Amino acid sequence: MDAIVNLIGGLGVALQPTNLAVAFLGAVLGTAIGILPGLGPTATISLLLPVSIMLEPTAAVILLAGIYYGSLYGGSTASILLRVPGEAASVVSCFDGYPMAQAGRAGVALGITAFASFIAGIAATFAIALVGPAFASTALAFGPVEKTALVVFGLTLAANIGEGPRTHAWAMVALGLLLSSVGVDLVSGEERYTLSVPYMRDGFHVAVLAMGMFGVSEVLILAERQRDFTAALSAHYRLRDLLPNARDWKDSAMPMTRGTLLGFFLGLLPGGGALIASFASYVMEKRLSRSPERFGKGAIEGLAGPESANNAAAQASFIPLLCLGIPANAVIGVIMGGLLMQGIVPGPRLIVDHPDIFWGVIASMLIGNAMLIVLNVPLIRVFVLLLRIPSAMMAPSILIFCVIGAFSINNSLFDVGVVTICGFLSYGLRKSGFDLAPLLLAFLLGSLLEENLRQGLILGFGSPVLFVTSPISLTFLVIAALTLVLPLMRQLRWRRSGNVA
Amino acid sequence: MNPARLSATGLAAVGFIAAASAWRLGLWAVDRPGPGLFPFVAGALLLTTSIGAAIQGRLAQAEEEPVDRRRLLRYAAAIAGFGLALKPLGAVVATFGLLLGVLRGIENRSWAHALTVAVGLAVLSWSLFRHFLGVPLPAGLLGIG
Repeated sequence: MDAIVNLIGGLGVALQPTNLAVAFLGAVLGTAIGILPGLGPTATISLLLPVSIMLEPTAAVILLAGIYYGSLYGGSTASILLRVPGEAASVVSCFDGYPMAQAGRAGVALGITAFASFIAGIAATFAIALVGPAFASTALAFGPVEKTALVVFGLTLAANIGEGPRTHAWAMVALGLLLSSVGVDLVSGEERYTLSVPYMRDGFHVAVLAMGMFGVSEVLILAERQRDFTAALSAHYRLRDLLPNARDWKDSAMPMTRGTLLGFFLGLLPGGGALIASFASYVMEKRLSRSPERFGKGAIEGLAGPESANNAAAQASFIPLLCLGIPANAVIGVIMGGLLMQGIVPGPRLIVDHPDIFWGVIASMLIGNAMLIVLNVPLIRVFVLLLRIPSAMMAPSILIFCVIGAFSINNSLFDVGVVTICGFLSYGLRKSGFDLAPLLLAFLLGSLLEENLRQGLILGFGSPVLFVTSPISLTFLVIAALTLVLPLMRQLRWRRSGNVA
Repeated sequence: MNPARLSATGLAAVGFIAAASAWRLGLWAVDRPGPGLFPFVAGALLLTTSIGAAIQGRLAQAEEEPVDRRRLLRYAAAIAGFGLALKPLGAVVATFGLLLGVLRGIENRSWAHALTVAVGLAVLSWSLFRHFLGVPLPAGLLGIG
């Protein structure tokens, strides 16, 4: 009951004119960048970090959050019409969405994805309101020892679930931790890795790194070849065609319900998020189906389930951020950067110290999802026109935003150099098979981990024994160890059975 | 050496140097951790995992279409040039130059198209950052900051 009262209070915050305006802006931008292949939510949110500083903290997070879940509505559009996912979490929408469009059902495919996202989004918002405060009050009991173990657990999941081989992911975690230690050590006053450059004394700014990693490197990816997306403009559909019929609804109802539940659960886990949720839901629906052979050939269940799952997961991943201070994935990591830039440290105290931010952001998800269903059903044709924008204009525009945005944070040309060099290095890492998400998460969590680790060791008079005598800490560390060891054992067993065969 | 091995070797070198300098900072001070402990552990982890990655040497997923290297290098030059030109030329002129260079020199758009878009976007980005966001931009040649 408290949750509903608080949610209504949050609606009061979310309905303030500025917050309403930024929710609308977030929904429009999210849908737009979701549709445009190349520019994903991580890059866009990174680009908008300097802009978000100008806003009140609540408005800033409403804007950034709106872009994230809005991109999941728009992301499936390019998947369905072009078989080119607008962003990573929409890859699954290609499997059955594109065959549906080829069979003349583009309208229904676009419609069902919007409705699936909307239903999951609304359900997830209420679930966050119910579950979030319980998470936060549990985490309030955490001291430095437990927090250290929680961050270690989060990093282990981030490294395990990220794309690419695990050694690569762990290398990125290590690099992120190392980058977080650049600057003056707050305890001893010693300079670490500053190369005697005064600008380095404060360490790297999260927005500058994020813009380089996801913005400038994206410009280089776009520069690799010329692209043409005008084929999507030839698909014809009227508003009536976008509305699924009774049979479509019947076939989609259970996949949407299962997708929402699965997505919500996966979104709660550090390292989880929309991408994994959509794949997991697709696999589950295919396994449960009486006619799995239809999957990949235009089965509406293969579209409705994953679309619900990715939206539910995206919204659920705000719980670890707002209640524990742990970003579940790279997009949430950049949003965490936005909060830190505002001087607000996300964690269990956020709900107590800044209830307006917590409940305002959660309530804005109801409003944002309502705006998105309007933008993505009757107005989808307008957004599809965005595919006319040539990448020739997109790439330099992203670059201008990154470079001038980086300059604007501290009015420093040093940051311009950092964003550019970081962009080139990130491109090299991406092309070498390194996923940058664990790098950003580790960078964000690094200072939190170091601070709590040092306090924990001081509490134990230099001995690490407290980390195993605290039951909460021990539980997190055991799960982290299992997360590390189990996949290795499975791999070994698989290799052995492969050798036998 | 393929690019994956090269990157991993570079990372291993970074890990080694970082761990060595962290060691010099001091890992332990009487009964508490020193300033070098955390970066030493991070550097050592980077060194070992990068060696593992170098041995694996696996690249990102194979791509369907080949990369146009000439185009990529030109864009890389444009990015570096923009960063270097920002201070001496100023934000407005550097933005105009970047757009004109990319649209005309790389994307082969007509002069009229390139000039119109370059002027439009340079003015738009300047108005957005200078007036809407209140950021003082490098003034450079024209003195517009």
